[in-house]
Amino acid sequence: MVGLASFLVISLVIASLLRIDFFFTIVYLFFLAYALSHLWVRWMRRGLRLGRRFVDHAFFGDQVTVRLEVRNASWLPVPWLALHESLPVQLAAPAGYRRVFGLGPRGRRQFQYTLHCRQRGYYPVGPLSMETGDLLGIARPGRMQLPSEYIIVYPKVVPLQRLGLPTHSPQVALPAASPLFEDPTRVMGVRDYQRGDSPRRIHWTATASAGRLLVKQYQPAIARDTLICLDMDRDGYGQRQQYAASELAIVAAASIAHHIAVRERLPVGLTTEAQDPLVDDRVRFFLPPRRERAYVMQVLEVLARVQMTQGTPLADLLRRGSADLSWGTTIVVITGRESTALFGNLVYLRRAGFAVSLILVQPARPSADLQRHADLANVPVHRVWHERDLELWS
Amino acid sequence: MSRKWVENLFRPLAVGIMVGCVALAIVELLQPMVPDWNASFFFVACVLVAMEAHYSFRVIQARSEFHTEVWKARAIELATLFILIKLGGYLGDPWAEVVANVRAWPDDLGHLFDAETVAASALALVSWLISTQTARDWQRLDEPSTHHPGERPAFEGLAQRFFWGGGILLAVSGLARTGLTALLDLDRPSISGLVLNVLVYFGLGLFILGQVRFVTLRKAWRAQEIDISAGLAGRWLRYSLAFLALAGLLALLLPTRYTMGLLDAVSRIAEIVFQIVGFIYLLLMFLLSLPMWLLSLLMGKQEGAPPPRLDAPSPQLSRPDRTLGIGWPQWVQAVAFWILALGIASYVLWSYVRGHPEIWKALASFAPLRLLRALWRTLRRRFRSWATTVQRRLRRQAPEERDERAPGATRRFWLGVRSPRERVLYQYLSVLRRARRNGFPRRAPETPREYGTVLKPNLTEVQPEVDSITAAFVEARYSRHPVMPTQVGQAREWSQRIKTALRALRSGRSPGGRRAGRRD
Repeated sequence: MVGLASFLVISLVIASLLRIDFFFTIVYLFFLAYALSHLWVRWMRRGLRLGRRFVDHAFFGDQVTVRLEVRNASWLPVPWLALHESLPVQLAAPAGYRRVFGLGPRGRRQFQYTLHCRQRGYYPVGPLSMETGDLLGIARPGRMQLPSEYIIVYPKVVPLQRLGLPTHSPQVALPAASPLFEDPTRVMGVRDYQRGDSPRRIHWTATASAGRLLVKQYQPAIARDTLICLDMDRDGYGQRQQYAASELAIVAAASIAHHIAVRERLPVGLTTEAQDPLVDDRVRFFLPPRRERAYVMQVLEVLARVQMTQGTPLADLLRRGSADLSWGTTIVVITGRESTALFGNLVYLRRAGFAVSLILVQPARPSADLQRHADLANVPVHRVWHERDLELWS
Repeated sequence: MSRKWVENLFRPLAVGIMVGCVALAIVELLQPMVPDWNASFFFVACVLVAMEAHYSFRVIQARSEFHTEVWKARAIELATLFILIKLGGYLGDPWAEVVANVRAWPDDLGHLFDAETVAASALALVSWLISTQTARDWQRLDEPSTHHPGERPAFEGLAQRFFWGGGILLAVSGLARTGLTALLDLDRPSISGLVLNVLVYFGLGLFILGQVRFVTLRKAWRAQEIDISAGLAGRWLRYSLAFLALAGLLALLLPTRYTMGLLDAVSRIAEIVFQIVGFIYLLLMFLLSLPMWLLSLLMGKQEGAPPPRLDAPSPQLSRPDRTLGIGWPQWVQAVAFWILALGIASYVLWSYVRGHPEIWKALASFAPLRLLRALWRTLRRRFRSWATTVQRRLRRQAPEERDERAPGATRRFWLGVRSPRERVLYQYLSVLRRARRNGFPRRAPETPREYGTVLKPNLTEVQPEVDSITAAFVEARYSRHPVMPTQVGQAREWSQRIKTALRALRSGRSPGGRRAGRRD
């Protein structure tokens, strides 16, 4: 409060000069108001506890309820408390949650608000700022903050009726994974046990000698793995519809991964190079094909986070991604721009023994030259302009 | 409380009361000087003018669109107030006198603008101005926030006006009670008792400031479209009243009187400190001289000589005329008062300087202060390095002595005060010290018996004594049964013989001892 300190000193001088007892009482009154206000704000700050609870992973279209709890652990009341939680604009409108309230001694208040997951991504919820003060405005307001926590919204998954992906198996979709494509007579080695491996594959002799669970690795007759190679380079999409096309590409990748893992129960993986907001840097992701359903969530989580970046050539991604794949793996390339170089890479992969499929998202009209290359490459090409194109895939 | 009640009744009434409190103090001051004046009229006029100003401000602001209209209305208002004040001054006068006075106006304006009317008008004008500005600040509080550069925030304006008024109230009210002539008399007694208008002014003012603070915050929250929980206003009101009541109660409990001035209190404290120090000194002298006196009595040389007396000197540092007749409760009260007063002033100054770092920087750059700080830093650094050096040296010396000294054995400053157990330990440790000086230090892991086996080959003539003193040390150190004084005598004998043998060994005279080689 402006002028209080000066008034205290002046009134003390007046009281001392005039020697009137009651004036000293007035001085004490103001001094106590001054001192008690400062102490009150300090104790309030020490006694306040903030908490936030919410489910930090959600699917597209979900509504996530965030619960805030403010607790006063002291015996002093809190006359006012201004609460402000910053929210991502993509999930909430307005982009903030604000309240002003009071708390009694040992009091507790709970608030909740809803986030509408209408866009995939990795979003910060918070920080939660709180401000409190005294009744007369003497002490500086006390401020506290609860750091941000993050929520991941998975990309939209479109139910695919049927995928026209090439495989060497006579049936595109099987209800369960089949050992037909592994030759149990030809053990090519052992590897560490992974969750989902059949107990019949355990190599007991090797396990006993190594001291850890080892399973036999058979030579595959034909691999039924699928690796999704997602292009997140800005140059891979048309300039005018860059954002929309890249989002559609992510939806396509998520839908394909979900279909393969959940419907066809086959291994699926993902490789891409993109900007990761978690580390705020460009990251190359390589999730090798695996068949567990829980693994799909990891794939979806990566797809939720990735953002477009610059200077990540698709050819390089294809080459590196294919290095660790089994022969016969299906590689699904998702990009927005077809080129001669791309078809060249796809042909190369075919010759290396992989089954290749190309998904073009909102592509430009191909030139005659490109069309000829596409025909010569003999690679299945699917063109997607809208989500319904995925749904009607055949 | 609904908004209409607050705007139409509470606010003007509150302003009127507060202005009235200050007006009352002014009237109390003036009345002894001009007893003919109608003091009650002054007071009532100020209160009513303050309330009227609040209403008129709101009405004029609501109805007048142009500045010229506002000024015209104001001029009419002030003229009307003057007329009413003039008429009010005639209250209680005989009618004939009033008529005669009015008739004299054209001829002598001094009848129109007499001293009483001018004084009353001046006071009323000041009341009117204060009330109008307060009403303006309140209006700004209620309106949506519009920031005008250079314009002082409404809350600040109200607070400053409150403090200024409070200062004037204290000064005028105090002068009215002490009188101007008595002001210079520093020995006058303090004036006790409640000053009602001061209490009402500050109590009401603090309460209003609390409410204004809430309104200010609420306006800011609404501008930011923040949801305000219901009941916050009621909670604020209750907490304000409770807070002020608590502060008021504590303030009433604190001492307000001082029968001693600050310097007297300080000198009294110093006097007590000197008395305590002097008493301790005498006590030491008494204790030191008592054995000598007793010895002289026993030897019969000074018969009947009295022991030294324990009369503490009492240096008279304070002026007797000030402290005579002041009992301990008053003295404690005075000291408590001065501690509080100085504490308040120091705390306020410290808080102010802390909140204004530029003042601190300005002080720090002041040359004499800079020199003092540099000197202080140098002294502190020297002291720390000296303390570290002393500690290091003590630690270097201490390990050897610590090994020799039995754990739990303490050094006593006064000789002969040790127990038999401690004396036995002391004799053994003194042997160890002497042996170390002669080149036979005890190593830390060695037990007393092991050390004995090291020492004995070098002191063949006193081997039994070495065994005996080692056994006596072990018994005194680790046993629980009491150690007899006869054992002390024996230990002393053994240690003397061992020391003699060590001395002889050093000088090379001992025929039986062989120098088995000094220990490194």
